[in-house]
Amino acid sequence: MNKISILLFCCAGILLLSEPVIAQNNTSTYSMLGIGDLEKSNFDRTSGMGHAGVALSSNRFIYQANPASFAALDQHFLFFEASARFKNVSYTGTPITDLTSNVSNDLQFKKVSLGTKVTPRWAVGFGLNPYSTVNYSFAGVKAIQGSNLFADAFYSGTGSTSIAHITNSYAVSKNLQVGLQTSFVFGHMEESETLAGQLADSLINTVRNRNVGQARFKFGLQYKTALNKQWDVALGGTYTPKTNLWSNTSLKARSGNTILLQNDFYESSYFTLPVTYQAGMAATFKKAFTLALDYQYEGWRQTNFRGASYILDDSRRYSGGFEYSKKGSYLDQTYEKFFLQTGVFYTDSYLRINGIQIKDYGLTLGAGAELSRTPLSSLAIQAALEMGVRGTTNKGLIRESYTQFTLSLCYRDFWLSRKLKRYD
Amino acid sequence: MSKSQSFFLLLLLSSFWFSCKKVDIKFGEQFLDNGHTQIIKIDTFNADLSTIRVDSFRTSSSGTSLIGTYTDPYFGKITSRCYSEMIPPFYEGPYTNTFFDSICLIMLPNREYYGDSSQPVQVDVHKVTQIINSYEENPMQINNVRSFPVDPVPLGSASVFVRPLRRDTIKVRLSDAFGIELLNKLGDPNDKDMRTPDAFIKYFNGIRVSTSNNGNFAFGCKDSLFVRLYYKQSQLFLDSKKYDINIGAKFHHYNQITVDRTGSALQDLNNNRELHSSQTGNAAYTSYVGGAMARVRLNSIRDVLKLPNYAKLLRATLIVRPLRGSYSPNFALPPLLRMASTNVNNQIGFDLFFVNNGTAFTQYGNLTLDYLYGENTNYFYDVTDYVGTLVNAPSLSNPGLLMLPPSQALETSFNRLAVGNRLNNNGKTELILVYAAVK
Repeated sequence: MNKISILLFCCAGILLLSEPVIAQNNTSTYSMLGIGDLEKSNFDRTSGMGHAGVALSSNRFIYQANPASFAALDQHFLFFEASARFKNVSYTGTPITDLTSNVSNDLQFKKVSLGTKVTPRWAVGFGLNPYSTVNYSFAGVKAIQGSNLFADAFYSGTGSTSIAHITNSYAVSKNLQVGLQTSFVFGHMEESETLAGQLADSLINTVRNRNVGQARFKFGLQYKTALNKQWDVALGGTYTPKTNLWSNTSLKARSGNTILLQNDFYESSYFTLPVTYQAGMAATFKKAFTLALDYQYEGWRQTNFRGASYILDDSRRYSGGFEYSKKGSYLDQTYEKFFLQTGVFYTDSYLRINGIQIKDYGLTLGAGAELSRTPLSSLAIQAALEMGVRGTTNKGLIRESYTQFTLSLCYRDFWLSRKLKRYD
Repeated sequence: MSKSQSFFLLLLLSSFWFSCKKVDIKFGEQFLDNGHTQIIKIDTFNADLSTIRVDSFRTSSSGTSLIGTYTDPYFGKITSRCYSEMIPPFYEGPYTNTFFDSICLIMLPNREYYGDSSQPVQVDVHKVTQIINSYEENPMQINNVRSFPVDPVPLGSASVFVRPLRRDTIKVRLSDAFGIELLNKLGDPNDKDMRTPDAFIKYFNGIRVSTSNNGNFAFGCKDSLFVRLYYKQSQLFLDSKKYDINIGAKFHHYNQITVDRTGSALQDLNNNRELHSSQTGNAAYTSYVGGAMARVRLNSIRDVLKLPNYAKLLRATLIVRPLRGSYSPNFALPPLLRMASTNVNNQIGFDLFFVNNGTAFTQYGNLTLDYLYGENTNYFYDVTDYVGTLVNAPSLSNPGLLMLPPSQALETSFNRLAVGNRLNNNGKTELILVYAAVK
């Protein structure tokens, strides 16, 4: 790889890092609750397998779900992956009155991650992943206390939380890998209320900014073994303890150019991220057909977070995926030419509104290929298509039917290598 | 760098140009924690009412003759007499071979009236026996309290039905002797009294028009009243001719208005500069010709700063509700009622105004009339800027606002207003505040 390529990739990486902050166009009606919409995807090879991949690992690709998976990466390489996602959402439900304006779509860059295997047993990874997003806006009314009148109001919320992580993974034995992801969850959310109407000579705008941040740990374990010459099985699990996310809220209210209230330290509190378990298993037949099943539990109910007409409830996700990998050979080595995937998932989300726990379920399709047909291919591409439904139209709620397309670029190059040299 | 690598990098970067679409979904308003800023409406602040005595006011040059007497339960007996200087037309003699026919005073109603017009009214015309003059310090003004002596024997009297809305002219036949005297003076080449205005004013100082028998009716006329002399002149034929004597200087045409408050709600106003509404039946009154004007003061308005989490006043509305039963088509409310700023001397200042397209317009209250139940009769004012000024300028005195008809109708209209304070169940004057509270 020449220097120009490296430079271009660095530029792309910078853009990737900055984009999640500025490109949030998709309206997410439920993101006003809790800490926003939780991101279920890891934007890796599991995106086409129903997001099932706790037990999966690869010598070529980074699996994000389980920090233990990094130890399976090839040594002497630096792995770089970046992902972007296009999402289209259509909304139905009683609150949707304008059927000509019930579709939104956007494109966001979602992930960047690096990984390398420093020693034959120890791998290190770095990355930035989305954790949650807040993005809503709508016009409503606000009751004028002491009267039966209402003021016109416009509400909006934007922001996101992300996970910047350092992952250490260690191969205890040929079959057993352990990992620790040390991450810093951080983010900024802005909620705005603008009151208008004929009451005031200027708009009354109240903006609440909330900054959150806290370290978080995720422990992972993978065990894999070959049952026979045809079958390989793997088990995996992760554990993430409860984390109190420190939060500082600032408040600014103004009317026109007049500041009504400004307090940069309006409130200091914390938002609790719950204990999270993941368990998964995978079976591979003839190194080509892989079936993966995952279960994830998040104990949100214990956080005792509740608002008007909603609570945060325990979340469970069941996902499963199937993959076919076409292998090729070059000289005495095999390499993957392409892969095809499909998967399904079902999630009881952490939102229970009006007594109804919001469901999220869907179907995924995935495919990927190396861009050069050699065992030392430096660039691979992965694509995943996901079609899902979230929510319901019962009790005045909204159902979101979404289609999203995820594209990931997976680059690798030699790294700290003293024995292998590559000659293009 | 391979072609494929370049292609995907370009694809990656060009994707920034993809358009995105966002929609606003009206959902979840009830879930939002949007309680930081609240808009609150309160009507607990007191609008303190008083009635201010009007000592005197200019009635000259008003363009209106107010004539009559009526008794108002709130203001007492109000009597108005019109004084006017008269001048002859340009002399166009000779007036030889003339024969007197008649002489009368002719007036044209201006639709202004108060009281019962169904009964005839005795209109008396008296000769003023002193030259009508103004004040030395203000020669262009005569106030309502000034009077001039008159000949006790009227020049003429007539019992007439006044049809103010039909605007039928009112004619009062004057003394024939007076008419013959004028005609003789015109025909006498040695008599100069009719030749110039000054000479005529010295001869005939003016007239006073008043009523005598009907104590419940007053009406207004234009200031174009005139004395018309009808005569015949023998020339080739016997011609019927007329000779009009018109009003002289406008500032020597005025209305003497007196108020007898005995037995009325405001009878104590004679001895007081102002009466608080608690002393006058929880009400305040405006009738400028009746010598009273209502004033509203927002004494405790700075206490809005003590309201919990008060941040900004958004709107202040003053609703003035006339007392139920205090008005009728015959005792009409002022169709336009302004709120004039004042000072400690109760002088009339600037009017409350609103701005539309950069132009300031006086607020006249947008009177809503409800003769059936009276519940919805009110005047309505946006006093946001006024209240905001009072709240934000603690050093500013708070003399209040005067409730007055427009200046052009101030001294010429009989319309009057009785408004209640917050304790008056027949019509409360309310100050409604809408403010933003931020916590």
